[in-house]
Amino acid sequence: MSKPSIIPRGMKLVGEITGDEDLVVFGRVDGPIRITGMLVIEDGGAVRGDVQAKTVTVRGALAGDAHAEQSLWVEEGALVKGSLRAPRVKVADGARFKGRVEIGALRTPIGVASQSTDAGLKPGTPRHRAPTPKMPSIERTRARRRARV
Amino acid sequence: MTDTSARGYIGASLVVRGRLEGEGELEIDGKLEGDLNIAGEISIGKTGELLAPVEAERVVVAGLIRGDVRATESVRIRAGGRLEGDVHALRVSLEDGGALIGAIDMDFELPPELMEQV
Repeated sequence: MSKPSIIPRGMKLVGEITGDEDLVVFGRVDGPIRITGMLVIEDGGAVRGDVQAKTVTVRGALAGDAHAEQSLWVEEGALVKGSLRAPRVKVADGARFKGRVEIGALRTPIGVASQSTDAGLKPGTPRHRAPTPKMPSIERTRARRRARV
Repeated sequence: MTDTSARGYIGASLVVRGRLEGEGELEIDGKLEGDLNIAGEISIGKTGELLAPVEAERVVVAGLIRGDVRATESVRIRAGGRLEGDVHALRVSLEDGGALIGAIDMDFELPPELMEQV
């Protein structure tokens, strides 16, 4: 993976960030973040706006809704006001949180309307498809049927 | 870890739109549109595009800057770099292979003998 983008401590952006990158926020962002990589809001970092990423980890402050395609972690010391939506959500003991939580597959897939290319992604990688949960018993039956054929 | 937390980086496929300000170092390989005011050094990589007026201490461009640049110290346009805009700085260097479309003002006075009326 290429090196992550960084908003450093000491810098503040009023505006939006989009793209196919990982991003670590040590500073301040007032505005939406929509990336296809991993987003980390570090201890001391603050984001005011909705965020959307493959995975979201909050150790700092977030005032806004967070959608993650894979997992969303709110760590100890984090301060979050907003809704959390992801197939997997962890809120650690010592995190401060206020808002709704929706754990499960996203109804709408995450896509980034950017002009970026598929550089770095292997062909066939399901970039825009959200994972759909399957019932364990149906899966086992299907697997057994497939094995018999 | 304090090192990484002080150096800003905008990756090649990242698009940032808005006003970015503060202090420290910032390296741009992606795209920044808007306004940039940093008490520090800004460096635009080969794939970087800065479409914004810039205020900084030092600016180095190997990619593209479209906007006026005000640097308290220096502006350096590297080979392959392109600056479309006016430049105000104490020191400006344009490497062979670099491009500048705009004016350069290094804010100095000609020696008095050149200023005398003939």
